Amino acid sequence: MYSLILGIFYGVSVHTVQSQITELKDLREAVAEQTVKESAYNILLSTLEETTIARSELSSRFLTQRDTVTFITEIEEEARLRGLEINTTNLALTEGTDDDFDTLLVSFQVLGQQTAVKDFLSLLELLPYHKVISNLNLRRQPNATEWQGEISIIFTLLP
Amino acid sequence: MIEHLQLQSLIRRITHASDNVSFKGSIIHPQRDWIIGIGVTILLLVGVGVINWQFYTIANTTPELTAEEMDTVVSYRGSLVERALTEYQDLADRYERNSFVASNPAAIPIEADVSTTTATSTADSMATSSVPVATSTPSSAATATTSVTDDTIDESSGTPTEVPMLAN
Repeated sequence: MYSLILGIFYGVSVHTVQSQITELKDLREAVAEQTVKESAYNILLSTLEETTIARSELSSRFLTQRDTVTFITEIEEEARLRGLEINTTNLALTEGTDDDFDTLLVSFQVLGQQTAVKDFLSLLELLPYHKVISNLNLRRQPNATEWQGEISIIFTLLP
Repeated sequence: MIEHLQLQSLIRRITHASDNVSFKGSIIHPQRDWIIGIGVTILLLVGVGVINWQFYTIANTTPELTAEEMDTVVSYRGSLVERALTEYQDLADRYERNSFVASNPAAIPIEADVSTTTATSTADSMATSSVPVATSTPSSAATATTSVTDDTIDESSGTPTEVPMLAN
């Protein structure tokens, strides 16, 4: 009888200890996860402080919706200074997904002397913004000395 | 009513039954007690050993993080950022060198006859025309001359051509 009681007590004790061991294991994993998060947070904080200038410079390489009008005005002024006739033929905003930014498709059509048109199109290639040139055409106008250039650029927009 | 003989038989049966039991329930039985004691001790030692081993294992094992948890660790690729900044700075410099607006926002276009600079390659189309150029950007004018010279073959066909890059 006493052996049975002692055996049950022993079994319950072992089971209790086993449960506490499992709980200890879970707690250790939780502590490790929190430690990693804390470490990542500290690294992120220091990185943010160290990269303030770099992030500012990078941001300046992206257009924003607020800058769009000024930007297009500047481009049109640039074309006019080169003696070109310019039309903004397309301006389309595409909303990005959660992992992607919005994009702005801008298409220009310029008409003028060959050199000026080529220079202008080349200049647009040099725009120091994050962009993709999706379309570029250059052709001579039939029965005319003027050349026509068309370019479509997809700019990445910062929110 | 139990009779005397039946009672004797019952007592005998109980007495004989106790004789058949291999385990005699006496209070002191050295051999039995030793076996029980050693068995319980072994059981205790095994249990304590297993528990200690588990504690030792947990205490000396660093929990491994899953890939999802590792994703929370932020990695900053500084060299990539530096390279991107350098490339964009280079683009910006080239843009400013070739842009009329950026290099001189107050520049007023002056009508200038550039036939002398382009006559060698585009005599038919450019000689009689005048292209406004800003006097403050001589490099752009020189560049324009170069690009026309390189592309005289395509000019006559009127087909789409590749645009040459401006000078750096």
